[in-house]
Amino acid sequence: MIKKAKGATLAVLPLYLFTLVFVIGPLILMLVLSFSPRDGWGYGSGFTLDNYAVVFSGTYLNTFVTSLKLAVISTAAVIFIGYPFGLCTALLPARFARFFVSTQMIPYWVNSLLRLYGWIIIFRAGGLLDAVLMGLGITEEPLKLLYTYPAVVVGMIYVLLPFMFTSVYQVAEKLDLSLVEAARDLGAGRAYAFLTVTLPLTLPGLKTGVILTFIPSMGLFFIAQILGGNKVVLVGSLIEELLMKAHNQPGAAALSVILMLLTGAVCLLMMRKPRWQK
Amino acid sequence: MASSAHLILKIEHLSKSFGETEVIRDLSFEVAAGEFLTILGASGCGKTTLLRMICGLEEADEGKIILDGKDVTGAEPNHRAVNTVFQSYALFPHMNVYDNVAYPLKIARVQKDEIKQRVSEALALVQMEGYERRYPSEMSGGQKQRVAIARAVIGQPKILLLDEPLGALDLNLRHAMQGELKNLQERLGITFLYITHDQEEALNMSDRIAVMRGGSFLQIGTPSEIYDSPKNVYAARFIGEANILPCVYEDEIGGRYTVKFGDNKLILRGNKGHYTAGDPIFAAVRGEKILVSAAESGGIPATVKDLNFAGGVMRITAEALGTNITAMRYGLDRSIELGQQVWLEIPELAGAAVEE
Repeated sequence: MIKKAKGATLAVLPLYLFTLVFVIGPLILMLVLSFSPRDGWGYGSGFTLDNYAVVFSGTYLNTFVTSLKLAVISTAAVIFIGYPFGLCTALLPARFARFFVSTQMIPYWVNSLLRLYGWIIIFRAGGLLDAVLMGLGITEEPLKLLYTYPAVVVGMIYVLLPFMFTSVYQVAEKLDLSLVEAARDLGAGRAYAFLTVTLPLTLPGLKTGVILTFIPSMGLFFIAQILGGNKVVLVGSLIEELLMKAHNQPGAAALSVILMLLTGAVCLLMMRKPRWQK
Repeated sequence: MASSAHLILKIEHLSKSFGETEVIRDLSFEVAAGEFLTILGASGCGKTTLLRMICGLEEADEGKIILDGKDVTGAEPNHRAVNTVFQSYALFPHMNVYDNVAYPLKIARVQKDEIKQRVSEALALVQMEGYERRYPSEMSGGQKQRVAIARAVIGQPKILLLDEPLGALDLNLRHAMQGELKNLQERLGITFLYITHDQEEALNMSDRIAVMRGGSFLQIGTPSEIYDSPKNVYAARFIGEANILPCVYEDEIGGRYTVKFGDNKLILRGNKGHYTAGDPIFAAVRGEKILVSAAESGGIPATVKDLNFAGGVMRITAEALGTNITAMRYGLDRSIELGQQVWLEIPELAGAAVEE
């Protein structure tokens, strides 16, 4: 046993070293940077809380709240669409389920940036959506949806939905349906059986889905840039701007640290396992 | 069954098909309150489908299910006063023992104090006190089985359905649980509808056994009725071990059939069938009823093909007229050897006339 463990440790050692140097290292660097004073285009030595003070001031805080709001809205929408979709697909006969899963996956063979440009064609004034709605007489004028908040939300949902769908599907597929039958047999109506058996047992999939949705949604600034124009500024774009345009490295670092703390907290919350799962 | 007993379940002309396959064929039977009825059949005979139809997890194509005088044929499972002990136990993995057992009571909005008391009573009934905080993953198969039973009886169902509940347990535990289940049923007074493919379980526990095959009952009766007077070859072979002798019917006198096995005349218990002289008929004879003699005795002449001595019982298999007949005898008899000529004597009424 001991020998075996040693061999395994040796085998994964390079990976740990890599992680240490290229993941943990930069993180520590970023943390240090966030407490360092600005010095021209770079940073100087010393300790300061100024960067955090700046981050918690008006504009930055607003952007942060906007980002958080968008992330929460997108994640909630993805849950409401993705959870039932994933669950129902898992309950289908295997061959239909496989078909649906592949229809969810195939678009992802194309880069998501490219597919987002597709939404521009749909959303732009006089675009596909307007053509359909006006053609049907539902609207009279172009909706001018492109570069609006709803367009960004749709883009977010579009990019993130498959993560929720697959996480829920994978867990729901393994759900023992005889447990639901047992609940019904013991007197539970359909809704009660869902709430007390199906939902808690598929919750791990939902939680994984939230991790895979919420965290990226805080940083997916390119969606806001493509579909929101300059109107929707997110924390991701702000970090990019601070770093690339304002050359404020410590400020960008401080903002990143706060973002990481927030997403880390969500992650920890979602990864907490109840006793029965251990 | 006393005819005055209260009828708890009445099944009328029940039918069910999955696609082209007819799983339940025009099945009718009745169950008296407090009865322990076992449905015995090989896998694929339709017994599990029948159970699922009674508890409402499967819809009936035709026929009626009347539970305690109320037609529940189309009712949802939660509107039927029956509970099921599933073969896989189906305990909720995310709930501890207490919450599992309390589940039906919580749905019924029973007061918290009463739930607490009834759960401890139910757990005491299956000797699982002190396990309230355990999760299913922290228990053995036998323990889960007990919890599943407690959960199924706590709501005081009119009928408890048991789907091969002992199938997943090891042999020793299975034997112990048989006695406990029977005991439990007597104490609770709940009607048990028990499904198994294990004839020993059926014979041990049941008030009545229904032998099921191809979606219908071949025979329904007390264990001794089925053991002593199987109606047909399948039932005779399925319950206990029976020798099946192809015979020719001769005549009947007061319920006794005279038949001929080759040139040997046998007197069998009749089966109320309609036969005329010369019809083929089968004699089902239990091995322990056949006498083996090494000296000519007027019995059926046969040649010993196999001898097997195990656990105090000697099994002598001898061939007569192309049929292997196994006789059982207690203790070891060294006077009988392989290849030897013996005479098999089947006493009057030791065998039963059965249909193909």
